[in-house]
Amino acid sequence: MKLKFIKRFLNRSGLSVLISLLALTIGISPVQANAGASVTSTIEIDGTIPAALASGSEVIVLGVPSITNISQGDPITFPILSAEPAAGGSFSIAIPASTVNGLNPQSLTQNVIVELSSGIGSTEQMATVSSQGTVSNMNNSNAVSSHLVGPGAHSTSEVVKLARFPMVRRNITTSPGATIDSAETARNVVQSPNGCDGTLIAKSEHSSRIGELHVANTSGVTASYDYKNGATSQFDVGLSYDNGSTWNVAGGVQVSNTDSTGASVSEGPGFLQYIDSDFMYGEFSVQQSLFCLPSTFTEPYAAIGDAFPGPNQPSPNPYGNCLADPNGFAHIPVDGSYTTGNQSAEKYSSAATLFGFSFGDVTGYSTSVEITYHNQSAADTYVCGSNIPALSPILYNSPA
Amino acid sequence: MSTHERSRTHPILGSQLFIPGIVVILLVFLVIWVLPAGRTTVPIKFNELTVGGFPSHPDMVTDFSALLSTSTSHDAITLLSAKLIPLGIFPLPRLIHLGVLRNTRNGYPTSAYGWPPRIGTPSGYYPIKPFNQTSVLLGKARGLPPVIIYGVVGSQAGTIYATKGLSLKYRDRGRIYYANIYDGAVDAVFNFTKNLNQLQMAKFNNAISRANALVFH
Repeated sequence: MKLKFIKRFLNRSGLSVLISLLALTIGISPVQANAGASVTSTIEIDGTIPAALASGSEVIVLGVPSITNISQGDPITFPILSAEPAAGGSFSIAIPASTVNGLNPQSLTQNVIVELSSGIGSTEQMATVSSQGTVSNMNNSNAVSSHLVGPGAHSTSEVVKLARFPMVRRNITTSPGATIDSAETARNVVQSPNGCDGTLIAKSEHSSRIGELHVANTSGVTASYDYKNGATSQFDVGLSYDNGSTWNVAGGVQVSNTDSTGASVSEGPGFLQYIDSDFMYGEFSVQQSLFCLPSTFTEPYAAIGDAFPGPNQPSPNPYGNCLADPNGFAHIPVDGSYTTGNQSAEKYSSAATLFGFSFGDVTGYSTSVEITYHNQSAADTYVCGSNIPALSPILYNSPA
Repeated sequence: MSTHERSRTHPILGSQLFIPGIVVILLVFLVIWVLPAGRTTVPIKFNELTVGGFPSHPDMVTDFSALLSTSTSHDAITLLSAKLIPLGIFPLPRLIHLGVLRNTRNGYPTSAYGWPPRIGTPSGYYPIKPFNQTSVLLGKARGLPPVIIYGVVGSQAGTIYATKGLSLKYRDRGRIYYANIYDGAVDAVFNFTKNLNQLQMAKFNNAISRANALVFH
């Protein structure tokens, strides 16, 4: 994980070039002038621990070896220079300068990676330290302050104050019963609403409201809600720039039910309940890059394909019964059957709440979501809604 | 006359007849194409709707509704004729009645039987007016749209007849158009006395499900 991150970091961002240039720049002017003049025995790295990692985390400092002497294909190892528990709001870790400088004795500056990790997740940043007192930070050089501590050129300690750590990448968590299949693995990296690559950092299986079923309280009347293969639900996407403290709706995403058999809820007289289905929701992290701000976004990325009565009851027919519905109503005669087809969809504003974001969703009754009524009672039963029955987002059913 | 000036005097574009000529052409186009057809120069797209199902006896008239529901407003159109649209492997029943619901105050039938179609509750008949040459107004803001009732017959017991809806011929501002109304029907013909037996019911329900899948895909 660390190796991959660093390799990607170095390769993609061109930081290796940047680091080399930086080191060259630093090495040419003031540092070189002081070279040999200052003696630093300890390098102390100070940083602020993100709230998500405030308890039970560990700080690890990894040395970044010089890449100038490594050929393509060679394994790169990142030695652990120091590691110790970190708790509370900040940490301070000291490393013998000789250990740091041992990475590349010919260089006046060294690159290190400071990683914070816990059971929740991890974050890391790269810093460049110098025994001559010149420090730069790769994540946010403006936020770094560095100085020598000690009596002038013979200081015994260099203090490196790190910039704020990037967003915490949460460890992938799996809800009971959920499994990671190949489809999910393939979706581990998805595009954010802003077109930036997001990495799956947390996931959860959760039910969402996809519809509602109203059955008249008449013996012999039944109805079914069929959530078939190909049925699509449209969800809001949540986007956060403050590590999930506040979310905004940023576009939508469609999730299709790919379960080959589909699912159906069949109910009898008096049934009045929301219909839910399970979806896999993911929280994705976008790392800072040239075109992308660090952010978190959350969206469902797979449909489980089931359907079942949800825990809550929807509002009953606002008109009391279908005969009073100004939008009109339809008779289903005794022995008759009636199936909806291409209705507009009902928008549920709080279909699910995950990772702190309240998702809205819309499941269209188009092509693969159908509601069917069967009338085996002794009299006509009626269907109606907020539009003509065939186009209503919600169908009501009453004996009058 | 300079070269520059000559180039600005096109033999036709520069003619004094050019602009009046264009106006005449536009007027001819307007008179011939736009005015007779109103806003409609293509067939109306009717909303895809539902599937009604009803079990019947051989040669019993079974009725279904086709709603003239549109998402946009239109002027009145005149209904001329209609025929059934096949639905997959299901045999088509025979279309033997066409009518228009006279008013929709008492709702419309998703299915019914007899002609005029019978209302089960309260007992009676749906008010029907003739189909041919009836003018209907489309695109009402609220309430039910015009409803065509079509009566079909299947003669073979044990056969599930079905249709995807009606192919409608209508006149709109003097021009003839054809449009499909996907408001399907399943006419399940069985020999039964009062209620379908379990096997017949299962067959009926299965046919409804299959018909739905065909209509709405």
